[in-house]
Amino acid sequence: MTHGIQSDSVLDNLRLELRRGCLVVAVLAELRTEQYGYTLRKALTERGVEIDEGTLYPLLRRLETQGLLASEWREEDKRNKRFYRISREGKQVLRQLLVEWQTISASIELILQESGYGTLREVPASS
Amino acid sequence: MELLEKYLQAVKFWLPSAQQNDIIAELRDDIRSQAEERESALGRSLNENEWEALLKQRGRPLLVAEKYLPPRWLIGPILFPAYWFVLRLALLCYLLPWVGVWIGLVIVNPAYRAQHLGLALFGDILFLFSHAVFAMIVVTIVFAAIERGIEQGKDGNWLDKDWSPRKLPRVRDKRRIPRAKSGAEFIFGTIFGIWWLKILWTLTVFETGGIRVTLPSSWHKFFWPFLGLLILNLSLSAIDFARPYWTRERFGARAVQNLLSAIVFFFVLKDFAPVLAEVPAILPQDLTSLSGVITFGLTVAFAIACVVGLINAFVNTWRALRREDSPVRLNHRVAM
Repeated sequence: MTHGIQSDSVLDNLRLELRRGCLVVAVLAELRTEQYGYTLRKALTERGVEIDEGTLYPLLRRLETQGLLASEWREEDKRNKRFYRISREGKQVLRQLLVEWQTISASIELILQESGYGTLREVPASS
Repeated sequence: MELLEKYLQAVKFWLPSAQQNDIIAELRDDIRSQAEERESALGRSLNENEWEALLKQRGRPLLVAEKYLPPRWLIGPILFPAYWFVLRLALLCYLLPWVGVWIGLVIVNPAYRAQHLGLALFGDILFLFSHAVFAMIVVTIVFAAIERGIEQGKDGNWLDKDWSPRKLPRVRDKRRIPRAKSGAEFIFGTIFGIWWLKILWTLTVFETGGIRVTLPSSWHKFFWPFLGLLILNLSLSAIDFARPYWTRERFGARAVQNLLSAIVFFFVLKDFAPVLAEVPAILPQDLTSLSGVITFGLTVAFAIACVVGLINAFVNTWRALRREDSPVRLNHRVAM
């Protein structure tokens, strides 16, 4: 039982590590159209990328500090909201990240095939 | 809504002042958007319990604010292993001898024991504890200063520069006894031994310009035990020099030598008589206190020698009895 709990927490940590880099790609890609934080989070969740607000807002600020996002405060529905969109530099970085993504994905695919797991699509969720 | 403002105020407290208003405005909007969505699903306003549940779901104010703060530490992950190593070393080399001396004095010195019972004992423990805390503070401050220096230099790769596997310490053969060590032991052991035996024979510790420090005649009886110890020590050092490899027998012989030393020092402490100081033109009470200081210094020195002898005897016995390890071990000294 303890071993099961331990391996669950190990899996959670590994999953977090794996998702961390992916979140940046997802956020940059989603912000090709201008959105504020709440709608961005909902849009990501609807597409299967769950992210809590405690992770999303600090991430948005970090990306803005790095010059990959731009933001402005604007009134909508009688409330001030901060709208984010991807910057020109952010678009370039996103393109590079997607190339990197494809390279990693192709490498993993190759490793899986050579190890007898088949392709990424064929790996059963329970294995 | 009052709960929301209380929550935002608590988060704001922990945020950097330059970003406080901006972050709080965005957080307020996000929470209100979430609340409005629930309200439209329920068809009514949220009650206080529902507000409480919503805010609890967000997490403690400190934890929420912490995610906006840059990572900060007193001693970072790069320096931490070195910090931990030095801290243990400092406590071992600084605190342990104090504890050893204190235990030695309490065991073998009845006068000291009588003066250090009850509250005085608590004072002794407090003294040792304060020494441990002092050592920890000094080591921590030094490493924190190094960490700040690294951060200000903003050169994260400083550890990667200027290193080569060639510069790492040699692989140590832990069975080998360095000849420099055994040679130094022999030379300094001879010089110190002759000086000490001369004191025990003449009973004069120091004599110049009318100032004279002597040992009481009861010390005479320790001449022969110390002579025996000296011959044994020098013989073992000479053997180590000629055949510089540890063996079980060699560890065993060292353990016996350490134990005999501890026993001799124990009996010296047990029969310890105050030294006699003679200084011209000095008040009798000053002479008594001078004699007391010298006596106390010698008592502490012999207590240390006794404790160290016992520890070494234990360690060498363990080395003689344990199963053979792998012959080589990496030197931990500067493997970083």
